[in-house]
Amino acid sequence: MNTVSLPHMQYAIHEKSEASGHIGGMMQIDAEHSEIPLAPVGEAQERPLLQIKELQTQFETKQGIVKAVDGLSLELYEGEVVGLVGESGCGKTMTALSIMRLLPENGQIVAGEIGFDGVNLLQRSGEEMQRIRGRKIAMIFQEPMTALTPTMPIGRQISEAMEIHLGLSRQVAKERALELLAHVGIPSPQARFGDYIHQFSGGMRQRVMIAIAFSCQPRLLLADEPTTALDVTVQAQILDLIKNLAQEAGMTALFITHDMGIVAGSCDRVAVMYAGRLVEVGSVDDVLLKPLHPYTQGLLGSVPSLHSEPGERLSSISGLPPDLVQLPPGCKFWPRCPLADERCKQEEPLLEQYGASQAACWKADYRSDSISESK
Amino acid sequence: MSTSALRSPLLRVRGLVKHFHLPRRSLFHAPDVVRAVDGVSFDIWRGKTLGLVGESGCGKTTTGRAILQLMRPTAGAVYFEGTDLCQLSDKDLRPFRKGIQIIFQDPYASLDPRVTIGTAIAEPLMIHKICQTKEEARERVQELMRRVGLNPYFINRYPHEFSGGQRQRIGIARALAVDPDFVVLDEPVSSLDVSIQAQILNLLQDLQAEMDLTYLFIAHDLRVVRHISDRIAVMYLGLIVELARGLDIYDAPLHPYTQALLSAVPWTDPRLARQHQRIILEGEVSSAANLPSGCRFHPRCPMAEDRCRVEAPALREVRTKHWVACHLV
Amino acid sequence: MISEFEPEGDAPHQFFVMPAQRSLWQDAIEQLARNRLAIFGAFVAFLLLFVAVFGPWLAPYDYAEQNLLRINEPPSGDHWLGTDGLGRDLFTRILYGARTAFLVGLIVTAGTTILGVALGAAGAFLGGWVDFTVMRLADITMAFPDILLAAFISVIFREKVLEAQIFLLERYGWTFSEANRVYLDYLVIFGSLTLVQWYGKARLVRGQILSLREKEFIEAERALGASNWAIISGHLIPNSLGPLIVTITVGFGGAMLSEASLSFLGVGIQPPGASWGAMINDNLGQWRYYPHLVVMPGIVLAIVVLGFNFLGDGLNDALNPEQRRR
Repeated sequence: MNTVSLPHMQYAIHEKSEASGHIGGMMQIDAEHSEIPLAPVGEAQERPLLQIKELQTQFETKQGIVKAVDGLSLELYEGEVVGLVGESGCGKTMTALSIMRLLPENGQIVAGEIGFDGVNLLQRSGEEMQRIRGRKIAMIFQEPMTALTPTMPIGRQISEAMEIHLGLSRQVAKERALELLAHVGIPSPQARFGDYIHQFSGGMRQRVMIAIAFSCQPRLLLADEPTTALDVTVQAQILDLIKNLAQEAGMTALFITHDMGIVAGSCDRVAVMYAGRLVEVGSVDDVLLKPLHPYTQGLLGSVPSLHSEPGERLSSISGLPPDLVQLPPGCKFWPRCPLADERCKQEEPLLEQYGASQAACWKADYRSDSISESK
Repeated sequence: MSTSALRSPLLRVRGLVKHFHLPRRSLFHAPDVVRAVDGVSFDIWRGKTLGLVGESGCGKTTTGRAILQLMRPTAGAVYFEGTDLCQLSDKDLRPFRKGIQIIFQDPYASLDPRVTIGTAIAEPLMIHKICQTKEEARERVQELMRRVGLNPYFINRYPHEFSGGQRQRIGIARALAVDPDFVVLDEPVSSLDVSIQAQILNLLQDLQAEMDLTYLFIAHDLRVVRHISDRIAVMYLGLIVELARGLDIYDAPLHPYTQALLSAVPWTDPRLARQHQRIILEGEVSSAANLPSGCRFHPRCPMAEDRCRVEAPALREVRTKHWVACHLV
Repeated sequence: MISEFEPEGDAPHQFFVMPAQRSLWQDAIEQLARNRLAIFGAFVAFLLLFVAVFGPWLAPYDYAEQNLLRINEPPSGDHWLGTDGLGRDLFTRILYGARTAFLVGLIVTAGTTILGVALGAAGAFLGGWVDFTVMRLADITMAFPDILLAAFISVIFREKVLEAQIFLLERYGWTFSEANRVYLDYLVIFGSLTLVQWYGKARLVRGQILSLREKEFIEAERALGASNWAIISGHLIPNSLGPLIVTITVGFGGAMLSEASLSFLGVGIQPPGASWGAMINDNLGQWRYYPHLVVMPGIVLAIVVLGFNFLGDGLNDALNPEQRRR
């Protein structure tokens, strides 16, 4: 058990030292491969900043082993904003916490590899991860009140991060912190520098959190439902702020959300997650306008659109999300899928390219055909 | 009113006010008053849905509670089929509870954790003596469970064994057990997952058609409100600022606050998101304990004039059946 | 979590888990059974009950029987735990002491629970001056050290009870404690401890009811048109029972400890009545030479009180799943 000191997240984490070898035999294999770059040489532009390969994260619970993330592979290229969409319990938050290596005590990464800027994060020691967290990868949480220290003035929380990660002097760090507070839209930052987090409103808290996240100019930003707790107009403000700041800094971002509407307005690409795995990946326009996977179609159909006639029935998804302890064989979505047949119940489909985007569905072929026909 | 020949509204709310007193800050301060709801009037016709939208702290939830008399209003009247509920004592109110029901936002908090769902659904039947015997009640409970999409097999289970969406179905079954005319839906889907939200919305619509229910749908998600409401009232700091037919509001919002609110809606169509110009409001909602003078929206309004800072605008009908409280419209 | 069919679709469900039906209480008992310290506590409690009921049959001697030829003996075959300064069998006296301890625990806990729940609930529901009076009374009681106040009350109380007894005897010829002075001691102890220890439960019940009243499910009941009485008896009381049970369990041990303290100070059970506290006091003068006479009742008392505390802690964890430590 260890407590991360920076950024000031009250997060109890379970550090796994290199020697404890929890990640098992994998580590040796990785060690051999660590000399080999994760992406083809010579295409520096095309090299993904973050490359998750076959990630498996599990939790031990009373009911059994929960496979929160089960063989997830995803690449984030420099400068793009990717949305990770799914319902509660689909493993999207656990994916982010796996990247940060901030899993709760009973959770553990059992397989896979998380390449960040050419190195595998799963091989880093606890100390190295602490230097990467906040400095190179920053995270914004849904609830700033639980993620920030209540007993330290917010200005100090921002400047201390910079003192430690960037080696700035106290005076310089304070000046930078004041600039940051102004930049994220906190009125009269000089006056509010010494305030505590509970003295801010919901939207302002999230702005403070964003200031901390951007303070060390990280290369990757993980935003876990950053606006779910906020009102509509404040939500729009915060989304615009994150988007603009990320664009300014050329930052890569992973937006974790349950709301397709947020993806539509803020992301370049989108990855749809169901039962611990990706079911569809593609550009926002492709996925949101021409969804291939029946789950993506259901999610989109569940949200009333501006084109729909008020009062007409929503095309919802029947049933409930599966129990992650006892997943069905075959495609994990088949018990709720209107298209499921015998093959879906037995063989699990993998992500494959259909047209412009990828989907994990035996019926995607048929879907993509029918979409192109209807065009 | 000369229109009494027309079908009169099932529910008429007139000048509803609910103030809360905060504890004194010191012996020498007068206690602060929070004007949560400050003079709200509207009608809801039988079988129709009025959507009540606004951001947190605008008073929409308090309005719902005050209509139900769960919080006694400070002033104003709530006529339900002609009877002013505000004038009734707690005891006289009880028979009226059969006609007016509420479905709560949080399906985890609104069910007693120590009562099986069968008992919970049977309770209203026993209170209002709809069923005389236990067997009769049990049969009716099973029927209700089936109707809201729960397997009657689980009648003896406890709430903690169900998911959020299922609990919301239990809440719906309880509210509908007494066969009410009017139901206040207080953010009934906002704590649910997207796919479950759609299931519950479909269920609510089916039940409305089937049982001729009248809804007051309180929500902050403007996509959901547009979908389910016939008319929509937009609230800001305890007042209704715009009230009109749903499509009128979405096609041509008149109040600057409504315009800003609608421009912030995250529609799932990426083309809409790109072409849409968001109106970003300055600052934050003022405190209901310390209201601005004149129009309550003026500190954030991009179009505010001198007049707005002094004079509070009244809600007036600027187009047919389209009421707005703004000097500039 | 229950998974089941939804009306819109007819998706198959054989892959959804169906947990066995369990009530919160069943769950709590299961949780309790897994807690070793709580099991130990429950064992101690049952042992105490058994000894309290069957003590006289289990005891090898009479509790007041003196044998001045065999005083201050160490443990032996005849006297398993030895004898005290008057040659009474220590084991027998500890068994009888269990009777005192259990009776005090039971009656004082019952008394404080009835008084505490009644006053706390009255304060919470009636509010206003009733609430004010109850809470200030609790504050005042709290401001005095428990034992000091109990000793004070019991001294005054004893006199009054004696007077009443004489009065009853003269006027009506009734007598209730002539045969055995121990019953008088009991009455005094019960009364004084109840008057000193009620406030904890009153405050707990009041707080529980005030917080439960704000819960949404209570509001839901009101919206359904349930009467106040139905809400109180059907929802408020059952929901505040959990914490109350915990307090009662821990209070059981506390009451026994207080009785021992009072008896140790000489204002509790009077000789020849058997009380662990009195036994410690009686033999304290010679503890350098015969330490077992002090240590034995002391250890027994410590184990019993510890057992009730463990049981209370276990119940607390079992009944508050949210606070449960992993």
